[in-house]
Amino acid sequence: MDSNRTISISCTINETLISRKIAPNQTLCDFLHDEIGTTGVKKGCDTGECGACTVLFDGKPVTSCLVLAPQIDGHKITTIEGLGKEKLHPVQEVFIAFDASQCGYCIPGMIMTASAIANENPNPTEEQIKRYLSGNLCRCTGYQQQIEAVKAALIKLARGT
Amino acid sequence: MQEATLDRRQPRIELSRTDALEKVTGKIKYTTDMIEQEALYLRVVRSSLPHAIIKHVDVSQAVKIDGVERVLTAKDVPGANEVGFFIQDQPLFCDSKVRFVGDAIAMVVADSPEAAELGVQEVKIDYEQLPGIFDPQLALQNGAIQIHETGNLLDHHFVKKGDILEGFRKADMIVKGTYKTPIQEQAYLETEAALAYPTADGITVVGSMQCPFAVEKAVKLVLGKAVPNVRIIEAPTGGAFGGKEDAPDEVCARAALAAYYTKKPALLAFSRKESIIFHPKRHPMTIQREMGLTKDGKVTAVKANLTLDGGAYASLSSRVLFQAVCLVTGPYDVPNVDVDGLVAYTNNVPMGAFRGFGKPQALYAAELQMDEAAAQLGMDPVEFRLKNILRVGSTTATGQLLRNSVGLEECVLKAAEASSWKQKRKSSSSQDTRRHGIGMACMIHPTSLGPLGMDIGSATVEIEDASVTVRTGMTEYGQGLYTGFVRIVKQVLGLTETEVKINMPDTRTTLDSGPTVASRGTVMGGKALFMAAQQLKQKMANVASQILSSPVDDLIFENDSIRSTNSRKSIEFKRLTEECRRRGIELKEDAWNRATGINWDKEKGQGTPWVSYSWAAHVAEVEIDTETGKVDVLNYIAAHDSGTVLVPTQFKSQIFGGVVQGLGYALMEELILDKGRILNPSFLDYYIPTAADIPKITPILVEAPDDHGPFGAKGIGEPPIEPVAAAIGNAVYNALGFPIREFPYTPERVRMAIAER
Amino acid sequence: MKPFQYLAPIARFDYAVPNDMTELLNILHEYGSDAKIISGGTDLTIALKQRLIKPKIIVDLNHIRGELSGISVENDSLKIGATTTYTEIERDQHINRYAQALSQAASQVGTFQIRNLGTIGANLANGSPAADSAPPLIALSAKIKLRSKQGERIIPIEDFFTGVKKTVLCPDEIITVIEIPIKNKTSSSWMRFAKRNENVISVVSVAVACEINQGTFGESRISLGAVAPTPILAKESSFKLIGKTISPETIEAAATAAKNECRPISDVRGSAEYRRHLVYVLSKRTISQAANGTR
Repeated sequence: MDSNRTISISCTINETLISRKIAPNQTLCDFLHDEIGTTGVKKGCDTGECGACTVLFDGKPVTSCLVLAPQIDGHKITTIEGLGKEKLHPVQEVFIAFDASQCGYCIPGMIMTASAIANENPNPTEEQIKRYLSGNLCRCTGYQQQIEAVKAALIKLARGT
Repeated sequence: MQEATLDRRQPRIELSRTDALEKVTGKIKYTTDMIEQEALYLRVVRSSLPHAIIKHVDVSQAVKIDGVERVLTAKDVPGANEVGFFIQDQPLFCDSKVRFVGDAIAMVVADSPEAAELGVQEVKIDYEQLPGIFDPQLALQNGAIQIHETGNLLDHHFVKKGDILEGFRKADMIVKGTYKTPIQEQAYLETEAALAYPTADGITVVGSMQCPFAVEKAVKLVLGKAVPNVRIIEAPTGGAFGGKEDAPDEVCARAALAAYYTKKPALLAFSRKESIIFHPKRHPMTIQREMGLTKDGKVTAVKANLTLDGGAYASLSSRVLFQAVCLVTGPYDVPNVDVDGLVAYTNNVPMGAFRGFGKPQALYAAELQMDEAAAQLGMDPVEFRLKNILRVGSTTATGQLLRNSVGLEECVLKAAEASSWKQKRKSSSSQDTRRHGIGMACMIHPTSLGPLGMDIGSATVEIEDASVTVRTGMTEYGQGLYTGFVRIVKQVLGLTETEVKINMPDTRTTLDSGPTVASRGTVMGGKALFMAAQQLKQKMANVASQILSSPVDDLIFENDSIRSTNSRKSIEFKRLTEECRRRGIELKEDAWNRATGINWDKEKGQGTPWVSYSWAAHVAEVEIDTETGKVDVLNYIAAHDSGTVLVPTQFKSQIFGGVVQGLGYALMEELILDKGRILNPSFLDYYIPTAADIPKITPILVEAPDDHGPFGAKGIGEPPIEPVAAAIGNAVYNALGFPIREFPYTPERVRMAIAER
Repeated sequence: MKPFQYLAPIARFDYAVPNDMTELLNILHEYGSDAKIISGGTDLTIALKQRLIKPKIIVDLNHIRGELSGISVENDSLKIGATTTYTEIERDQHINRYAQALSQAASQVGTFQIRNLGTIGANLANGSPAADSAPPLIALSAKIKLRSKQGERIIPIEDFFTGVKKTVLCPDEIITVIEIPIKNKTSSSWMRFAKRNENVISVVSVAVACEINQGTFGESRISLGAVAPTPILAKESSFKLIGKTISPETIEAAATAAKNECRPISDVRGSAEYRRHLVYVLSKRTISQAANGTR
């Protein structure tokens, strides 16, 4: 890789400042997984439909396979590894309690999306929750337990528990 | 020592899934997450034509690319160039001809992703195109071009019972129909992957898979004598549904081959598009079915002809055909049966195992026809079913006497009640452009592999320090099998706090328990585990008996301790293990569980193919927008008898997941093939349900235990998907007033059917 | 090991992050069609991964997003910056008040994640016949501002599209603002049909903007998406509304005209015949909804 084809970026990933030169011709998903090593970011389709690669970009869920790595310069990225570092995030707790994971491959992406719902709307209807989650495909669970888990998480978050 | 039992009156133990914490924190590592390992990158070069002779494969330009280490083809296979699962009909690398779009011809081995991509582009293949066959009925015609030297007929199975002509003579009316079922893509979120690396004495492959011992066999066959030791390890697997039953054989063999040649680790993984293009899928079927019935609603005869599209290679086709043929009569008592089924090769993508394995298709034909018959009789479909369902004491279509464990009636009654069947069926209403409908479908599902092969489960239980370790050859890929295993061990040994660990399969250290398919994980693997735990308990009880001065039969294993009801003395489980060790007793037990009593008479088309059956009744409630044809599912009830339920939450999770996968199959999943080419190999245009597409699903647990499984369990992996398309089909039939005998019930299909009337 | 990069290697390119418009326009002027702009990026990254495009340079609007985003009302005109995301559009109070059809469409584009990322400028520049933002903009008589080093031009949105994935945008031009005239008596609505409820490309979409004058349609525009090589203004259909009483007969006539005006193809998402039928059904429903002034 020619050094004049790398680009300098400075950003925060899971609250750690990252400053380095990177190759611009890679998606954020690939960069996070292969170079930063946050392998919790998954690849299910590479076309933005399945949501397995979802991370938070300045707190908002995005499908990282649709973002080029250098676009994160000056921004804040959170992956599943950055959620619940000291203790589990309420969404993680409820996903265990409600048996919302089966094979687990969609789960990090699903949890990242779910973790951001409260910021969008602290009191959504079931229909609205389903809409929020519809960008995260799951083939194992049929979604019902995941939706119940999200409802419980929203209650926990509202109560500050 | 008496065998442990599960007392239904005991409070249900709810266990968290064994790996839930690793999954929600993202710590669990699937094959492509093992990034610390440096590896070469492998890319398969695939046929762009559905049927052609390979005249020449030119890799000379590809090997010149900087970073390409080598390009492997058929001549580089040291052992056998073969990966067929049962029949040796599928080459690892095609050398004489290609038989489907996506057939593998060569493999580029490179040290960078970019070099691998360029390498693929530079491999040049000269083809002589042959006419392609994409319809199994055409494949079976005289004069059709032969796809394999053995001919286009892949297999043939039949079932005959009673006297079919007599059966129809006795009938007051006959219902006939032709039913068509589509292809379906498994669409697991994690695509196939294998990482192979050389070790001091051989090659190890880690990968996403359902059948590690089948993979071991396949890799050994391909490597031949060149590699003395092959070790296969199942990595955490992101979904399978049958799609990873045989495909991992070819994936792991290719990775192993690259590791063998380069003496370096090698990774083979796939984009979504490539995954969809190559792995085997659900068999499309055309089923002609005819049913005779008396005017008071007794079925007297069923005759059926099934034609299956087997695709380019056999995969699991023979066994899928067998199940469909045996079960197309549905879960009903039919005295006279004549079923004939054929599966043909075509130049489509291979068809193989997918959750349900022939039963979703067979039940679709059976259940829709049951409703058509009920309509002709002027009888309610539930009432009609109750007159004909199999019960304890019935004989199946293959002549098997059902001695126990038939919870179907309870499933039907409970599903009907929970769905407010009577009331909703009467008022199948219509408001301007919306029509409501409700439909039921029942299911029969056999447990164990069937008569075409041996079915043996196995397990090892060992106590290391103070915790229990289970070594199993059965794979976990999201079904929650291992949580059930924890439950079994804890129940047998009376443990609550003591840790029970389940080790994933490693052919070096686990016994071969057969493939994790056919919903046999709990019954065959779990029963073996039960037996091994019982054996261990017996050993420990003998020692405890001495220590507590008590007869063995007076000992109770409970709450991590063993106590005597006789002498009132007790000892902690942990201490007992230390005592055993002190006495030189090895705390390790293996057990094998073989399916017995299975037989099949090929000449007669009769026999006892399976050890036990699960049952279900589903009810779907739909609303159809008649202007657009869109079918919305308002409500869904799924009543299941899969014997004793070991972990209720997970049992229900399987039901939710299976039903939704079935809703996709019934309503929106359409893989479009045009002369063998898949036009929509991506999630962009192949629609699986999202969270916004699901109705409320209510699972109902009916438990009719059967001793073949641990504590009476029967297996819930596949059953939830099997009746869904039929339930939707019947609900649509009720809403519109006429049946649509093919699916998916996409808006366009439904709208066209309405417009044509 | 780089297992994810291995699954979709992207060819190399240079990467520029201009600090102001002048710098941006200079780069575009210099590179022309060898340059690709990334703002929302959703279509661009897919095209890069599939190796459909091989740009020499990619230009990131990260530093000048501020200049190009934002929604404001000025002189009876609703201005939407090109780098405004769908989530921002969906939520904006002005859009919800004066351009309901656009807010409805924005709420259904792609997925929650894509709406946070995708921008209206990128969506329009991509020129897909199924671009969800286009029919509402056409119905609302929007104009689009294009800028290059040479200067600026402003074009009615229905003239922006010239063919499948083709627009009048020159290689050295960038979309800066979309302007929608505000008319107090205009009510607008949008509907689409797709093969599942969410996370799906529209099979057919219809947008209607109409002035309601005491039971009569005033100025009205109907626009159709995914049923022609470009999103279209259905002129015949629109004329069938203008000046007519709001009644089922009027709506029926307009819907029938729309059905005849569209030129859909048959593809994996639907046959031409079915799409024509859906245009009829959706037009009826969307016009009714707009006429009722309801969402």
